[in-house]
Amino acid sequence: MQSQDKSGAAKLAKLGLMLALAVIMGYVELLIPISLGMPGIKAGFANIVILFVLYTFGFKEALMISALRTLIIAFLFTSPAMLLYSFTASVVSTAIMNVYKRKSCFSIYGISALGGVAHNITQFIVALIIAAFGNRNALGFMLSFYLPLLLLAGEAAGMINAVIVNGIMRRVGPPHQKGKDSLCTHT
Amino acid sequence: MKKADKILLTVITLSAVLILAGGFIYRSCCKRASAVEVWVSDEKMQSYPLDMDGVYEITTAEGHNTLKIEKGEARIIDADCPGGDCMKMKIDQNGGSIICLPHKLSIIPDRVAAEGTDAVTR
Ligand SMILES: [Zn+2]
Repeated sequence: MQSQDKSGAAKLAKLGLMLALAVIMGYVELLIPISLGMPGIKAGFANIVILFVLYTFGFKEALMISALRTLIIAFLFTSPAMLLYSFTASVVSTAIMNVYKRKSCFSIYGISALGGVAHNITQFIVALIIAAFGNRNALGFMLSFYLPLLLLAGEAAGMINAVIVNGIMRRVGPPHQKGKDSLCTHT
Repeated sequence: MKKADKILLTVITLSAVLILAGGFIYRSCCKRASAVEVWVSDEKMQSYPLDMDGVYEITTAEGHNTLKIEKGEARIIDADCPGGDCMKMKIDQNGGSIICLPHKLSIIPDRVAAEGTDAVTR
């Protein structure tokens, strides 16, 4: 892949490829039979693609793919009801990753972990709104038990994704810029 | 990884652990009782919901106690034990316990029972 070539048709073709890849990964994820009774714990390997697109193309492209990906998966494999979880989570996490990516103090590891956590927390909030209102016992359990698990799962998945994307970018991505390691005092 | 990454990861991990620990502590010490359990010696006899008013007769080999639950409070309103100390105790959703030593009877909130009765009957 020539990463410098971002003109028109070539870029579109690449993004189409990325979208297909994201859909496939989302589908593979559905096949993994782990579930804690609520969507979200599979804080996605599809995020690998989103992260890669965010770093090699940009925010608009990443947002587009994360939105389209969830739409396609919902209509092909799951149900439109699941879209509420996956679409909001995917879009919110992409937006949050972008906001912090623009601060120079975070590397891809922090950004990806943040994205994974944001993805899970968004699904958690949607689930709270849908499922748990009026049931105080469930609410307490979700907040005290499920929430921290989602935090840790999102963080772990984000780190794994970052390692993978970092490896891919070393080979096919744009040249790696080494910035100064400073805390977020400036943006 | 940069310094900010490490701080971020630490903050996420720490908050998750803190919430888990907080939840654990809350569940083990501060969970409100929803029912009372009647134990005779080391045997659980019955369990009555705290949010339902009622009068229950408890008869053991040693004697007789009358348990009354009203407005979320459990009390012994009648007993034929010497002294009648058990009639001065009560249980509500915040806890408490009713012990009738002569009758080997103990009535405890369900959340205490969940952790074992040792602490109460000892
Ligand atoms: Zn007594």
